[in-house]
Amino acid sequence: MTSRNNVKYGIVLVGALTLIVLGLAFSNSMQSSQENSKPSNNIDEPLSGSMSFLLEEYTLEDLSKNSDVIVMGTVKEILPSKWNSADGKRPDKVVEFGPYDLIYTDIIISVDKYVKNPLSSEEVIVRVEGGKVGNDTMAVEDEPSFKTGEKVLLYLTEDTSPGTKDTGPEHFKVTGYMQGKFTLTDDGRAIGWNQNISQEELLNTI
Amino acid sequence: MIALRVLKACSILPPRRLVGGNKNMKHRKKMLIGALLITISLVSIISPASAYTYNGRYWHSGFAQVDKDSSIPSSWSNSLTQAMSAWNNAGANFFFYQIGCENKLYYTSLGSSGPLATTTETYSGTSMTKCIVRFNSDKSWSTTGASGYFDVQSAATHEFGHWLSLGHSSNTEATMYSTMSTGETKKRSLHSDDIAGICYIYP
Repeated sequence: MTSRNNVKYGIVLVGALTLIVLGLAFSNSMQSSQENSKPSNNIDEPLSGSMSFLLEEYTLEDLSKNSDVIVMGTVKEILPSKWNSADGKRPDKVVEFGPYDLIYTDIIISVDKYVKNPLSSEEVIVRVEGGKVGNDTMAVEDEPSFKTGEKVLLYLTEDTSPGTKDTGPEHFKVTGYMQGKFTLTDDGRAIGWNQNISQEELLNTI
Repeated sequence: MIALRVLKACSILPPRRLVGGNKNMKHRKKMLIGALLITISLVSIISPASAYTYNGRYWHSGFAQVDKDSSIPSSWSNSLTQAMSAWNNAGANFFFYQIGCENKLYYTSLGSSGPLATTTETYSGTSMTKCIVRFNSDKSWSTTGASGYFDVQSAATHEFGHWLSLGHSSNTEATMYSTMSTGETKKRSLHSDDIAGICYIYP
């Protein structure tokens, strides 16, 4: 009877030890596999990153209410992208995109008409996150894209983003990111990220 | 099969009038066009087009480690775990697990006009190497789906979708749709479009 119990205890002990060893091996292999894919610490290496947002849903009325300025105008120039550092280059020791280490691009809009809160300036600078500096690329999924010469209606707001608000010249952000940009067409349409309405209908909501 | 039956049914329809064969031919043509339209509609309902987007990168290991920064409110723990579980249980060969690592979740200021949350991915070629999620502390959050507040679990489930390398879906019902309203909780549960996305990347 005693020897039977001993055999049982032995089997249980061997089983438990096997599970512990297998568990440790599995955990180590996962740890090392993840470490193998860590980014390089070399600041000369090209850096590739992307940023995606979850946005607060805005109606046209929300866009109007939450915008400091609304303009109709033309995309005059898309300036070269910069890192959000004092010299516009990748800061020393930055080897990955982080909460406050990012690339931005400024766009100059030649204003044809202020629809809300007119300013004296004939141009405004609109800042979007993302761009390419040297070999470093940061793609941002939800920022609006611009083309030189494009006619636009833009809902604009003060830049409150900690990563870009204090860098470079005075500028605005597009309210609600891609939600706040409409391309104006010659046939009187306003084309937004998820809707195509008449310019008259859009202006009536402001 | 349904389409064949519809076409067959149309082809055996007897002429209603013996006089006016031309009119009868026109009627048959109309029936045939109608049948074709019904067939196209049925096919499009049975196999809807995918709306998810894939960014072309993935975790080569088939899993991602996740760690909470100390800035994350302790009351959010269950919501974050549930958000990971939604993807872990999607039937794909991928899983999240929580452990001390560099892939961190933060609760930090992104500005009052900033996004609700962001995911920053760093990658090398097709290999995802690091992900960071930041929840905007300038917005009002709730773990209960209360009206007037943004739902933590819904936002986290969406952001973890970005960790998989899913972009935004054009399906307004999908977890990976790009916008969210206060009180909205539907993003907690994966839509079939989200599941198709993760299963495509991690078959």
